[in-house]
Amino acid sequence: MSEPGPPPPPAAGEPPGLPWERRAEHGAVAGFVDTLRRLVLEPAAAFRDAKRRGELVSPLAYAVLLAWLGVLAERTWSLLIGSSLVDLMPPEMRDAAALGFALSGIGIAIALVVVPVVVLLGLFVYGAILHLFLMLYGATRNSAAGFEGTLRALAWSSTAQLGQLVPFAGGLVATVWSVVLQTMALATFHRTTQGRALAAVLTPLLLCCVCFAVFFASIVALVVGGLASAAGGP
Amino acid sequence: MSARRFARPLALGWAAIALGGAALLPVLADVAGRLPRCPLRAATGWPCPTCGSGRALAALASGELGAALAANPLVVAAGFAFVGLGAAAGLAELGGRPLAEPRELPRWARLALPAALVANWLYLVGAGR
Repeated sequence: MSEPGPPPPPAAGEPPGLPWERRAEHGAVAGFVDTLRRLVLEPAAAFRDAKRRGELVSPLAYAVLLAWLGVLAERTWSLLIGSSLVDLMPPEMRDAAALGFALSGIGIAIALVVVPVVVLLGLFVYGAILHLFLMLYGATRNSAAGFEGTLRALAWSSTAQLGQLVPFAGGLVATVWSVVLQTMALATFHRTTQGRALAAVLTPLLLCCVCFAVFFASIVALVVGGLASAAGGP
Repeated sequence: MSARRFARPLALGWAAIALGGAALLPVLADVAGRLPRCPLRAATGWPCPTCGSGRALAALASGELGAALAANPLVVAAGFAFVGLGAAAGLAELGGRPLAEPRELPRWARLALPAALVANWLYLVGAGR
């Protein structure tokens, strides 16, 4: 039986693919780490190299793996902090707390099963909404990637979830980073302007999150109003 | 208007996700019921464009289509469109005639989509949802 040869080189004009998409030559772990590194440090070049069509498992699996890592990091962090807190508790409370942390371990196992379903459903549903707005703004007119390109852009852009690791402001960092990555990826994959891509990314965010924006604006207004009153004196 | 065909992995993947999501509707409705209340509604009394989505999911999970439509008609219509198109894309692919994917929205749809968003929001405001 002949040895399997190296994969055929990409056709002229076709992007070579990210290391995770070519993990047969790079190895799975090295391919994943190198893809993550490229998407963090040189996203524009990474998106240029990412495949536009073909097998869809790589980008979707990348998004699921990142989500898994996120859940593991969050739960491990909680368990570590929680376990050290147990030592500080009165003896009569330690057994109940230890049982709680053991159940958290079961929670991790359940989360690892549920996460792929939630991630894939979220990618397809949000991808469909986003693609509708891309079409509304004429951003897919020159696209050869279509809905598949939007899904790929979302999956690779889930790299921004690493922003959740930033203490206190993790959600905000991840959201802003995600908007930036999605805009770059969509503009590249659909061969459109970054303005159109950004408009398509922001519209559903604003429609769904306009409530949050108004809520936080109200809080800022209240705080600023309170400070102004305090500065003005009685 | 030019179009491309849905690629096989996408069509079959979409069908699986759409039908899987429909099967998990009771779980999704349960999760949606645990989400915090809409902050815009809590702060101002005005609904946001997606207010009522959780109640719509819960009503759909109990088979109450009328109650679901009353909670947020656009979200329910979009949900049916997502599942229906996914199933259609998968069936067409299996039948050897992949669905065409438009490159851009026709003019009527470019007008209808913003109009539907505004009309849905006005309905939510008017109905006090």
